[in-house]
Amino acid sequence: MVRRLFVLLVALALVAAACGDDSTSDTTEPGAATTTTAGGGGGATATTTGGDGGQGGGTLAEVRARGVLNCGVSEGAAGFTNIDGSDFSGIDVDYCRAVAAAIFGDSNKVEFFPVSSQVRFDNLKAGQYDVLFRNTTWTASRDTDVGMNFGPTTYFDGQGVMGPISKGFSADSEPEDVDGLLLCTSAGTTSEKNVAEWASLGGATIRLETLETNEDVYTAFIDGSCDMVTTDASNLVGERFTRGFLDEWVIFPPTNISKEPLGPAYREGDDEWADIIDWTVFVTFIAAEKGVTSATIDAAIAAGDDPELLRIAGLESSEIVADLGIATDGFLQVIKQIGNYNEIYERNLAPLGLVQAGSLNALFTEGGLIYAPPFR
Amino acid sequence: MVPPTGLKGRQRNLAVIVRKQERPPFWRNATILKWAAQLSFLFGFIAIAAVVIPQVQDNLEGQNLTFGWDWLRGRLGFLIREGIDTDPDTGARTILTGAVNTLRVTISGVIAATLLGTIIGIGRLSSNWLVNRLASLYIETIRNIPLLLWMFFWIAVVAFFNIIDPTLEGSVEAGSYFLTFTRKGIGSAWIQPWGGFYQWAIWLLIGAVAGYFVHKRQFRIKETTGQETYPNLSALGVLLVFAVIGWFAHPVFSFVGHGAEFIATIIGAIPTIGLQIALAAAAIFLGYWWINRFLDERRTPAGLAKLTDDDWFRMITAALLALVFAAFFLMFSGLARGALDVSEDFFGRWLAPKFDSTTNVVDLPISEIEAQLASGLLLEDIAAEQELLLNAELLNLSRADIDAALASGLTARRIYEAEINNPDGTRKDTNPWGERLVFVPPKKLVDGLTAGVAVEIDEALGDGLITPAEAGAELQKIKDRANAPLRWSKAEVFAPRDGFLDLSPTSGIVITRGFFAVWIAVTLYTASFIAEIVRAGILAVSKGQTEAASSLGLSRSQSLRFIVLPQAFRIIFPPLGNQYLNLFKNTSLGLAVAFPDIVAVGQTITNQTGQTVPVILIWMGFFLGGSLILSSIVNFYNRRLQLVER
Repeated sequence: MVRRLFVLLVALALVAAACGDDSTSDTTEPGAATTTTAGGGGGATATTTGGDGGQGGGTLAEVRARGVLNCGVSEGAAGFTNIDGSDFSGIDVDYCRAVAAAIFGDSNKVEFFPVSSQVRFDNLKAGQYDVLFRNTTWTASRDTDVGMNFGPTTYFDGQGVMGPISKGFSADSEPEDVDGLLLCTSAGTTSEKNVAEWASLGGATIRLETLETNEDVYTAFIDGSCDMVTTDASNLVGERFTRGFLDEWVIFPPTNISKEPLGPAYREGDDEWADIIDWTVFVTFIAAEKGVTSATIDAAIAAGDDPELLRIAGLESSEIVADLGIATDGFLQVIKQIGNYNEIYERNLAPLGLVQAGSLNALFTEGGLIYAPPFR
Repeated sequence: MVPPTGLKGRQRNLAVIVRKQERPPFWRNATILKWAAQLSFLFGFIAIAAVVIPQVQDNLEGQNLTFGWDWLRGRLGFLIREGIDTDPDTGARTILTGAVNTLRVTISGVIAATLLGTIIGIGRLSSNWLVNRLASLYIETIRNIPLLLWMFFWIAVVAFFNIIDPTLEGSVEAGSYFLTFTRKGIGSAWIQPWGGFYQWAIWLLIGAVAGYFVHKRQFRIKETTGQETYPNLSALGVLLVFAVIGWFAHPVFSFVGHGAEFIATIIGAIPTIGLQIALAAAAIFLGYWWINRFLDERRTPAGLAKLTDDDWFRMITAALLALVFAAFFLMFSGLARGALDVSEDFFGRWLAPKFDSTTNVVDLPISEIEAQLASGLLLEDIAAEQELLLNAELLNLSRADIDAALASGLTARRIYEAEINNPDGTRKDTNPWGERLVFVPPKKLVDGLTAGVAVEIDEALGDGLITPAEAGAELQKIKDRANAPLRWSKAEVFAPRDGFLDLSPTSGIVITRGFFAVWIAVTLYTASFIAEIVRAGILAVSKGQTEAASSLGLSRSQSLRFIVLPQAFRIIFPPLGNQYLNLFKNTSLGLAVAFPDIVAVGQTITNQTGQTVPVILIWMGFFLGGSLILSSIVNFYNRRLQLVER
């Protein structure tokens, strides 16, 4: 009996060893058809789905058939996505509406999908929504590993530090102004590393407390357990506004600690769809550059002295707009219903105390980075 | 079973014996089969690992997770709120800081919870109705509410402490405190190890050894003659004598630092390959020694016993293991290099400086400082000049440049910044020197000076409250005391900048709000369980013991101390150990209240580097190792406490 057990054991071990050899050779040959392993299979599936989506394209056709644009937005980020019951507003929301206006001529044909930062890419890949306007930072690894494509940046964000004006901080404060102080930040971001680097390069010694949630950070800041707060400037601006400290807290340094370009993200491989998103954003830039607003666009077209504006409105060389796959007055509707970039900014971010002039988010003609290729 | 009867049965038994003496074929040799089973299990295990590990790696890659240990050596670049190293140079030190924080809160929690739990446990048995009820109330309230909620509760309590913001009304004021509760933490006066502490510690060590021998001798006399010799008191007395002598004579041992440096130099001179060869040789020697000992065991007066197959296999395994280890040491230099680095750092960078009490970079006599103060400068200005002088080479400054800079109010830090910044204020891509500036805050001018005291002196001088000579005398006093083994230090609330207040981390002891919340939560929570264990232990001692004690004429306290508690302790100890283990593991909840323990720090590392799996392995290793060590200590004492039965 015992002996038989031994034999069985040996046999089992041999089988296991044999299996091991098999599997290892499978994993070393990518694309081997006989792969039965979960990891290999999963990886392969993920890639194929991405590829299929790309080759098939057709997001536009899908959206048209559905009659409504599905748009992924934040679960709540002041100025970017404000959710008030079923009422959505914010710069990201406006760009969702702009895309709907370009496709359907009606900026209301949007359904919003508030989504957390952890699942935002997976849900996009799974097709829950067609485009993601969710203060998402454009990075190389998201472009490659995560399998996203990014459109033009609609807001240049960056990490900042926030402190009380009453203690002598200004928008021009520098690392040495926080020397010896206790800064707080929330866990789960790269803020800790960025601020430590910033301070040490600036010759300052700071102390840093990492709290579990954003809420903890501001609670600690308000009750005086922390001297300053550091995280993405858009978060600082939003919290400063919603908590009613607009005139008491100031955000610095003037040049952000890190680069966080926020813009639209969409699935890889659907060029037609990418073009529509990109050019909807660019059109708002161009309109701002020309000083054409939702109110003045009709007059500007009637004047008829700007050929580029006529091309955007689809009144001249209308094939440019038509080739994108949308109605020739699509972009005209974008400007009419949503407005130009400056209008969008003024409407959503200026109330939070974000000054556009002189920031990276000013037009390139005013020293910022907002720039669009020519429309011709 | 019916015994075999008759010749037939006996013959069968005999036959069996004969067959056993024959050497069976190897496929039926029990020894070989036994070893084959072991080996096949080992190979099976390796084979499964060979399947699983590439699988795991593949899956990790698929999910964009990486696996590696390089981050332990590299700089992670984030700061830790509190601990032995708040700005660690390497990932390993980052983890170490978190681990030490966990141990800090565990050890202080264990001590506090044991004391509190014992008091409440005895209180629960008190015949005083009020004490009894209060103890029950405490136990039932605390242990029936989850620990995490207690942590949130205690962190919320911090919001009721003093405001620490000079711009607000009701704020705590700058100054020295015996005990102060602020929203940034609790500051308390404390006895701190100071400049001469480690030299003094050697005296204490010698005193402890001498005390041990005195105790042994006195105890022997007491046992043999029955004469009261006070062994404990005499041992304590000896220790005290050494402590007092050492307090004044401790500089005698400053040579130990040089010794440590010398050892570090020697270790630094050992080539890695040398240690590798030594380790390999040690492995082979160990194998050889084991086989030799094994053979000795088999040696009888009549000569070497016949070796069974099993013996041969054992010896072969030992020899193979020795060879494998030797090959491992020779092939992978990382281990040997790591061991050399760690021991060199220990002796040279950690131990040696402990015996060298002059740690300040600025070497300015007090008389010179006093002269400069007399010329109208403040400590701050002197520090700024020293900073420029110390960094003159780095910044490429001449004496004239320094004078010009001082005249125009430029500091070294400003000049440094101008160099590493572009004219438009943006950062240059690289630091032109790749070297850091040496900062000289005023406290670095004199040994033992603290930031708070430096500010006080500057303010007093600025307001004309003291003369430069008085300031000099004060500094001299501080410097003289800098070499004392211990110092009594009050908590200091100081202003790091205008408009801010903070607890000085170098004066007194600072309990941050995170540490406070974790420590008090685990202490109170564990104490409620310990109280019940103590109560049960005392009740478990038979009533007859107490009665016998009182019939012998022992007082109630004597009977508790000499009769009941020693017996109760034997019962209490094993469950007590479990509570200690629970406390150790519960500290990981500190994550929720921003206490940077090993879990919180590890989570930040995961966020920064994406190394989830290695961090989890480290967590597991740490908590497993810690628990095993704790439980082996508990088991060791438990064995010693048990009745010796024959």
